[in-house]
Amino acid sequence: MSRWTARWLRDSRLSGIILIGLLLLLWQLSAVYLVDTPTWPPVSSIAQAWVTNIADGTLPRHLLATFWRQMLGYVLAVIFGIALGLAMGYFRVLYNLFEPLVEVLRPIPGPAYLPVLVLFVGIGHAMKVVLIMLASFFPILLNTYSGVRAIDVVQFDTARTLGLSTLQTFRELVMPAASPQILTGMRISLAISLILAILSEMIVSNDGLGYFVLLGQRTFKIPEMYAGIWTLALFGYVLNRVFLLVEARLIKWHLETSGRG
Amino acid sequence: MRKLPMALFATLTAALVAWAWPIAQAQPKLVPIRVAAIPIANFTPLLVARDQGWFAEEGLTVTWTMVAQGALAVEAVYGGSAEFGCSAILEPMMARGNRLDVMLAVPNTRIRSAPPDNSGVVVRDKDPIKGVKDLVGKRIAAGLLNSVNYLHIQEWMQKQGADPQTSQFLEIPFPHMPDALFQRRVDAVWAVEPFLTLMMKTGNARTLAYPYQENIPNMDIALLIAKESWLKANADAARKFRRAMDRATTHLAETAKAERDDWVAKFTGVKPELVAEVNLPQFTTEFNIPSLQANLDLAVRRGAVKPFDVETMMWKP
Repeated sequence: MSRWTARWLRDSRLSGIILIGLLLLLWQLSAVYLVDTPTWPPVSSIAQAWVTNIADGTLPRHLLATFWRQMLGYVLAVIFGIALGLAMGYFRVLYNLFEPLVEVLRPIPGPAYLPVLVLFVGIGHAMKVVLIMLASFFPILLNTYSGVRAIDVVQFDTARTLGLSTLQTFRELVMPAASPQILTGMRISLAISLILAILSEMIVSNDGLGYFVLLGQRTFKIPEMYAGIWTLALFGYVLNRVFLLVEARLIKWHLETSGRG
Repeated sequence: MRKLPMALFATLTAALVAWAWPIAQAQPKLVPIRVAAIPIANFTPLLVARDQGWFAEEGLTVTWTMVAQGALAVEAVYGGSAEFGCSAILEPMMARGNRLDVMLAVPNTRIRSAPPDNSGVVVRDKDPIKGVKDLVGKRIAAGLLNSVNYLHIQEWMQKQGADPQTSQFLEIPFPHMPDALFQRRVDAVWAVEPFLTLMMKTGNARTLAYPYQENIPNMDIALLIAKESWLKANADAARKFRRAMDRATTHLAETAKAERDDWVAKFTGVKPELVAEVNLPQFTTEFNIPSLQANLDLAVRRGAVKPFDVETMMWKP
């Protein structure tokens, strides 16, 4: 491999995009020449279905439905997860009180809550938001209190020596020191929240990308089904990129010192 | 002078509200009814009753949320987030057998009275499977384990002298069954429409049997349920809902095929040209109670539910 090629592969992000393009080309050729089944349509059919459903507003409508449910559940998880995580990380009494319960509940996969939530919360939007919130809550909680507990005790002693109140300690020491880990938890939960949003829409819903994909499968509109999956992939990618931009703004100092900035 | 337009606007608004308010209050309030529905052809009467205005004529405003399966509809009704739920016949019986107070409230569909049925056991055309005894030791997909399909195929195999315990039953979603069969991941599937018709059209599959028709002819297959306590407290609204649904079901049963297919296409989202080719179930406004008891007895024999009298869960409007 030439030195120019090696440098280009190392420094350019274009290679990843070219790889995706090659895989799509492979898909197209296999669907047209090799695989004869309606469940493996050519990329061109999927693209056509995608454009049609974007142009007539169908996909944007379903995307918006998924987006607001996911965001509501996610934001609630962030609020409760960070609040309880900070409290557990800082106050030993609260950590001892809640940690066993957290360790028991945490391994329960989000979808396992579904039957209980249908029974007690119902089959409307509230059930889906609660499910998303429950599944997204634990990674944020765990990362938050781990981030707080990882702060050097000497720093807390220094804060006490300098006469900082509890609120000042949280604001000036705990939040900045724990924020990289808190944001890591939030990024993990962002993906989980999208997964649970889609799952809940596949099981109980009249709209959303999950419902759209399942409807395509059930009515044998396979190109539409894949168009929905493509939209999901794109949506997830955009969400992640936006999060990374926000993270870069908030903890620029940390990214620079860790060599990621 | 600037204040004059605002004052004029406020006065006009107040006058409009004062004029409209009594009219709005005088409008008869529509009773809201929520339904946990399944997007299959059987429950098309919901759409017919709504779009023809028959729910509104009865003073009801009916909305529905699609759920993936009957068990979720039972949960939604029992939990109070829906007044009626759409289901196959078995899940409500299992719920009742486990002391949930659900009732069979609105008749809906039966299997077809003669072959071809709305669903059936399908095998690969060139395979040597010719009868039920050839299914011994094979891999079979019949929907969810302990569903009505699963129990009926086991009953059908046993009645014909084949031990179903020797076969391996796999849970494969209905839309995936064609691929699973043609890729030889299973040896037989219990396919439902429209996937049954799609598989036949490939020329690579044939129907082995229609077990429902062989086990319990003319049986009810789907219906709507409601909670017993809700039915007692809201008997009038329940009767109105049933009347509108019966009207829609009768309309679907008696109308021309083209119109029926249009309604089904609209409710399910399946392309109209495909609906025109499939075998729809029979729409009915009467419960076939002996068939419901026979299905309950079958479920008891299979160990799926404790025995009880099905009459105790029949709602009498």
